[in-house]
Amino acid sequence: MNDVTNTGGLVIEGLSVDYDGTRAVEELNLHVPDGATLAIVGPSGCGKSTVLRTIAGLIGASEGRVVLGGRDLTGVPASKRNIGLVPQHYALFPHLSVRGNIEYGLKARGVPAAQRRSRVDELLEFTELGALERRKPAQLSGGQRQRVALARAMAINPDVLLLDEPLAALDPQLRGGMRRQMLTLLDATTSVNVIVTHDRQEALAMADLVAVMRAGRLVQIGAPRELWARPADAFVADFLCDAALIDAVLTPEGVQALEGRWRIPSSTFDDVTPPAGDQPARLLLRPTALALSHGQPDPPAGSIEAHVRQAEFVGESTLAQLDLAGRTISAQTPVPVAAGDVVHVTIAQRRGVVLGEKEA
Amino acid sequence: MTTALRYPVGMRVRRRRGTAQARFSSLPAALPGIAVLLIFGAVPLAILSVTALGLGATGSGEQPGFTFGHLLQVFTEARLRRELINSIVVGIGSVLIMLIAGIPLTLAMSRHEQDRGPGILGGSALVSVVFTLPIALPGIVVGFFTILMLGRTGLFAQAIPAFGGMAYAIPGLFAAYVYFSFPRVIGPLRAVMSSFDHSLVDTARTLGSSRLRAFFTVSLPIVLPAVVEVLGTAAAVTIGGYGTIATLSQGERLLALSVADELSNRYQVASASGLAVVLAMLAAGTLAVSRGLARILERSRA
Repeated sequence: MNDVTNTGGLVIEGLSVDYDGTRAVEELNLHVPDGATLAIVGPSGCGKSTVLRTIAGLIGASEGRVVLGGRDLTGVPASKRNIGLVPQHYALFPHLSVRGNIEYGLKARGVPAAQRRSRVDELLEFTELGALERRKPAQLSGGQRQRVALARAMAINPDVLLLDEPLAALDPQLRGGMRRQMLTLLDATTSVNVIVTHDRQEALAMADLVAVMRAGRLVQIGAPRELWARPADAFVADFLCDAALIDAVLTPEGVQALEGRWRIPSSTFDDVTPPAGDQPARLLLRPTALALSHGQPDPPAGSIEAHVRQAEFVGESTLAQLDLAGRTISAQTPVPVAAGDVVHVTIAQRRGVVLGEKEA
Repeated sequence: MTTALRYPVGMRVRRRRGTAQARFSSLPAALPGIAVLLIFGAVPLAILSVTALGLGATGSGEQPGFTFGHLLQVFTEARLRRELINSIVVGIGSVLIMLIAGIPLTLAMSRHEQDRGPGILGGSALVSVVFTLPIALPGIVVGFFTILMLGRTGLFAQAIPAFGGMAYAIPGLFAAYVYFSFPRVIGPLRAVMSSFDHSLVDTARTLGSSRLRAFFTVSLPIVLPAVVEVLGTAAAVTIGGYGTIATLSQGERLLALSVADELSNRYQVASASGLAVVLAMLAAGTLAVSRGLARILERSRA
């Protein structure tokens, strides 16, 4: 890794964290520029919350450094880091009012009363909580609690704003609206924002950079569109894109996958230049990239037979789990298929993505 | 109580609903308990009160006839007044001392248990035994422990002569009753702290609070209503504890000692009854005040 510790923003360098005798995070390297939002995604237990707590200073690093704006925070206690934390369930102080919660950090820093009042007023207005300033957390809805937690963290003008699963505690129907509202709030900050989530939509929608973690290790980091277009491996493809990544061979005629049983002509793809000889490649199969045909006497060109294992009607389409030569692959189709059907699968025109052998 | 630690208002609403349902559904189940309480609690207290008013049995040399003298002697006799004050000071003071040590200890145990499961500071069998053993020890044995440590030839006296005989003075009584109240405070506190949301403290620290400030501005206000209840219950038990003071009765005395003395050694039935009623009222009053205070604290933060 290049020396980026003096370039500003948040730098995590060679970070390893041992938690109760187990290595929870291994050799993590990240750089988030000032004003950018990083989303750390991964399944439960992948170490993403441990990274967040280590940045906050609530867990010590076993190895490596956390550097913020050129300042090494590794040995600095949590209370001196100037970091705003929004915990998963918001952790609002139940004995304090909305105003009391928001001004807590300012009081702890000894900010004079007049300045405190003015800053809290500003945040109450910004988060549209003015009418609720005297209420206690138990009297607020989930969305209101979230805004109080955010305002409380923002009140101290933190250098880094850490959000742990910020939308997970909300009802699914509220999440879309709250996500948009939170984007507006985060856009107004000049700090580095780090969001930990297991929700790929949240990560893709809210972040400038997405880091995918698995088993304590960073698998891939990049801009959302970059990761969406070129996932580093099958895990990232599955987790972030809900897609399958299968080995393939790029031939002068097209793409061969599944040990040559599926031959797809080059004309199906937009960006595939037929090579002179065979080249190893990978085929990214998103649910929306697959076209199914059912009950037709002749299988379409470039198709492969598959069995429908499971079919869920999801409104405008059906989400089918297909057994494709022993592999389970998702396909979203307008064709009303049912479990047990035999279908033919092709790649929809211009929807297939062929990746090189070792994209990263 | 435990759910109150995060959302006190929500807890109160639930409790009200629960109470309303319980009023109808659990009465038959509660009847045996109510009967036992009436037979072994209310009836003896009524008889004791009648006797204390001079309207029941009398003892050696006691004149029958209505009087408030037996009830009021704790206020009119200097010796008994001192015992009453000693009982209040030692009963509440020893529990307060235990609370000062117990609140941070049980919070730390709860944090350790939530973060890493049962361990040295968590709920391991050994820790549970160590922290609950004193509850199985009779008060008289606790008294002996105190004599062994702080008696005239106790271990402390051998090291520092000034400690000799402290077991029979107020500091010795405090030491004995702190040990006596230890499990009565630690046990309920552990239950209270087991569901404490430690992310509140973490958040307070990231907002710039030191550990000490986070304790006084977040942890303590949240657990305070439950702590006050624990204080009242433990103090009520400690105020009435007889065994320990019976062993340490050579110097400073507590009221429980005089209740037994009046009855067993001097056969002053009405006088002993008067003192017993005052002692019972003191213990019950401590309990009631603590419960009332806890409710007020809960309401004030809702």
